[in-house]
Amino acid sequence: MEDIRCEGIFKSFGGEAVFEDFSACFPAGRLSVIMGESGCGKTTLLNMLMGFEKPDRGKVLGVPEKKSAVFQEDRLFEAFRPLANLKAVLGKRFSDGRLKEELLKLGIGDGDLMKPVSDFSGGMKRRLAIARAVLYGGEALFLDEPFKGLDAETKEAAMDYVRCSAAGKTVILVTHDKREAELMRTGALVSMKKPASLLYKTGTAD
Amino acid sequence: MRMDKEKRRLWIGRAAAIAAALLLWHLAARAVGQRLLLVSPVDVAVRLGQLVFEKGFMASVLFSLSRIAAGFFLGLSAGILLAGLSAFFRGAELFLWPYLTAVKSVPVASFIIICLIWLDASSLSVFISFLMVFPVVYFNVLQGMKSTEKEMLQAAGLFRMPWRKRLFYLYLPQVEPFLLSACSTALGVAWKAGIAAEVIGIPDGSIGERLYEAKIYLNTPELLAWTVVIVILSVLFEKLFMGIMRAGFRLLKRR
Repeated sequence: MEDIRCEGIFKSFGGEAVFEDFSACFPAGRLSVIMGESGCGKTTLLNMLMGFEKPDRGKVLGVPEKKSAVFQEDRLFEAFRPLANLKAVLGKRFSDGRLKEELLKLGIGDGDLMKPVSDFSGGMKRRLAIARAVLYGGEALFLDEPFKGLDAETKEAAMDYVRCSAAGKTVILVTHDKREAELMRTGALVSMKKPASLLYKTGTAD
Repeated sequence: MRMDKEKRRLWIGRAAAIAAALLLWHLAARAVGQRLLLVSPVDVAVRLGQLVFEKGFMASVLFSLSRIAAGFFLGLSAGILLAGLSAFFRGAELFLWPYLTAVKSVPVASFIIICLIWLDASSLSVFISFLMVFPVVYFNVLQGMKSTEKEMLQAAGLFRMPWRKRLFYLYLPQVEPFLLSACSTALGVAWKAGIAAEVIGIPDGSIGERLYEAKIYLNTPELLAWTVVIVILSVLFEKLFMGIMRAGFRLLKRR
C-alpha cells in the first residue's frame, strides 16, 4: 500500500481557478483530513482522488484499484430496504445476521430494516452509507462529510465505527468540524482556502 | 382518513358527471328522434344485455382480446429490450431512430392498409397493436434509463457493481414511473389501433367484423353496444395489467 499523492494539480471551472499547482500527500494506512470553508474545492479534490474528475494538469498517484466512499449526497438505492442496499454492493460476502449486527452498531435496528431507505431520516441514510462504505472494504476510504446531520450520540457511535473498522486503511475525511478532525486524524491535515489559493500542510498527527 | 374522504368525493363527482353525460345523451337522442342518427343510452344498454348472451359473443371477445394482448406484449418486450440496448449503445439508438420516428409519425390507417398486403387479416391486429405499443414503450423506457443520475452511476462504478445489479438497483426504480406511464398510454392505443385494424381487415369472428357489420346494416344500437364492450375490455385489461405491474415492482423492491 502506498501513499496517495497529488502533484502539481491545476483545476478550474468556467475560467475560475480552484486549484493552482496544488500538491499534497495522504500517508498510507492513516486517516487524513481535508478541511476548509464551503465551496473551496474539498469535494472536487475528493472527486479527483476517486477518479470521477480529471485535473486540468498534474497527477494523482497511489490511489488503489479497490476503494470505497461515503458521498456527500449518500447515493443510496432509495427504493430498496437497508439490507438490500448493503447486499447490492457487498454481494454474499456477509450473512444477513452479520449485516444486521453492523447496522445495529450504528443505531439502525430491526424495526428499521423493513422500511425502504426513502423513508429513512437524513441521519439514518448517512449511517447506512457509512456502513456500506466501511463493509465494502478496499485499501482506501474516501469520506465526504460523513457525520453531517448526525446528532451528538449517533455521531460518536459513527466516528467510533469508522475509527475501528477503517484502522490500517488509507482514509481521507472531508469535514468542516475542527473537533471531528482532531478526534479522527492520524495522518495529514490539508487546510483549503477560497478562492484558488490553497494553504496546506501535511504530516502525521503523532 | 382525509385521503379516503377526498377519494370518496372524487368518485361521487365522477359518478355524477357520468350520470349527467348519460342524461344529456338521452335528451339529445329524444330531441333528434331518429334511432339511426342518434340512439339513446337505454337502447344501447338493452342491446348490450342481449349481445352478451348471444352465441359467438365470447368467441369474438376472445379473438380480439388474444390478438391485441399478444401485440401489446410483443411491443412491450421489444420496447424494453431495444430501449435497454439503446441506452447503453449510442449506435443502436441512432440505428433505430429512423424506424421509430417513421412508426411514430405515419398514420395508423396507412400502416393497416400497407400491412394488409403482407399479412392475413387475422394477424393484422397483432402486428398493428405491436407497432403502436413499441415506440411508446421504447421512448419512455429510454428516457427513464437516460435520466439515471450520473452520481449514482459513479457510485455503482466505484463499488464495482456488476451489470445485472446495476440494472436491478439503479435502472429498475428509475425506469418504473416511465414504464408504468408508457404501459397506461400504450394499452389504450393498442385497443384503438387493434380494433381499427380489424374493422379494415375484417377477420372472421372478430369484434372489428361485428362493428363493420353493424355499420353496413346501419344498426346503430349494435355499433354502440360493441363500442361499450371494447371500452369495458380495454379498461379492465388496463386495470388488471397495471395492478400486476405495480404489485410486481413492489415485490421486487421488497427483496
